[in-house]
Amino acid sequence: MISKEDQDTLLQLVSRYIKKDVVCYAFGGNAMMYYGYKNATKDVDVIFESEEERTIFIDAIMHLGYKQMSMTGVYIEGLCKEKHKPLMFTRGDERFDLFVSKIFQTQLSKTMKERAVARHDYVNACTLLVYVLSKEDIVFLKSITQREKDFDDIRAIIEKESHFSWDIVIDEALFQSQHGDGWAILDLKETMNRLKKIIFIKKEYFDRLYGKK
Amino acid sequence: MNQYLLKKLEGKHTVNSLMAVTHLTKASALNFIAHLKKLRYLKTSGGGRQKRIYTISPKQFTEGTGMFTIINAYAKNPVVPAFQHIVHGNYGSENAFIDALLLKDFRILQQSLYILNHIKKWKLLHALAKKHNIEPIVGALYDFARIAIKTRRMPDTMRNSLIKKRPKKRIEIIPALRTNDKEIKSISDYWNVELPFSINDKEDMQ
Repeated sequence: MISKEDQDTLLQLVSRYIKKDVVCYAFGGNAMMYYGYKNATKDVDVIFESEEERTIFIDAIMHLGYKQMSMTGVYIEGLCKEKHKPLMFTRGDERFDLFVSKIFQTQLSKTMKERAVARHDYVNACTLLVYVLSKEDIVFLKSITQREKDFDDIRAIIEKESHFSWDIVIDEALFQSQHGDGWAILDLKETMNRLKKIIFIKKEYFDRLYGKK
Repeated sequence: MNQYLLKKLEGKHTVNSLMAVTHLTKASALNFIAHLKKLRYLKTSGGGRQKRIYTISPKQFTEGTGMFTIINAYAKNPVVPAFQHIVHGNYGSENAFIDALLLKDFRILQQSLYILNHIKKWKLLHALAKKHNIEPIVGALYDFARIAIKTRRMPDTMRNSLIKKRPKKRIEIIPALRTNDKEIKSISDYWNVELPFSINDKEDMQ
């Protein structure tokens, strides 16, 4: 597990070894830590806009002793065969899941980038810029990654957040489904159905997802 | 920390309101406030002549310096941050000025000009402008700031170096925003950079 303070120290260290400025977007447990939703996480999920940036980042973390690992056992079997699967690196019990431009079939859309709520700059000779995606985008992306603890994280966000816009989540799912993500609506629907047993979600949101409105 | 309790206390409080909700004595309430603050679930504002207000949230507050903290420290009219910006590492006025330019937001750009009165490391500012390929923009904004507000003097070597980078094709800092003032237009023409400030913007800044 890695705490918020450890994550900051680690990324500060990574910024020392990167050879060029790198921009990435945090969307997993690490993004939740920036929000203050949780205190520690096992995996640092980030997405880069280009393969070049991911390579520079990988060089830096390998310098720090991280080794590449297999996706098996972490993600479900179907996701391991996806074209846009992550490269995973681990050292001890913390792990980096590094994506480029797409998270499996879901793209990092322009609206997602515009909705980013925070920017953390890790400054050294070169700068590592980490944008934190909005809580709605985190919930949406967690609903498609389908890992063991993703649902618990979604639940934690919804329970702690007094202002949560399901409209944004559904708009994003519809956009992704129109742009090649065949699973976006189904995965979100499944997550919302599970959530419905714990929290109140209006019927109109389900209707929008089913295309009834 | 007990999430149920934090959710119940979420919002703004004074010591008295907190005492009423938690049924604690004043001393215990103040201890509780100190404890929450240490865990970053509480933020303080006001004080002095004003009543001290405590904001409690079930999410931990993030602290740190960033572009908006620096801009607002010097700005005449502080700006509302478009996003939360936190920097880990060395970050000064020079970095904040360049980052503000890159955002291409009129209000942020206007208020960031006040930083020019507090620049100490001109060499760093030059290096950052060079890195982002915005040397003529920095030159034009500096000249505009000189006629609008009080600024420090830019070293001649840096100014001469910026002049050499004047573009052949006109650059727009903020698309479709042009000046209506002769004096500002002359600066725009000199640097070949379209300054977005009107005569009213200049007067507002003074």
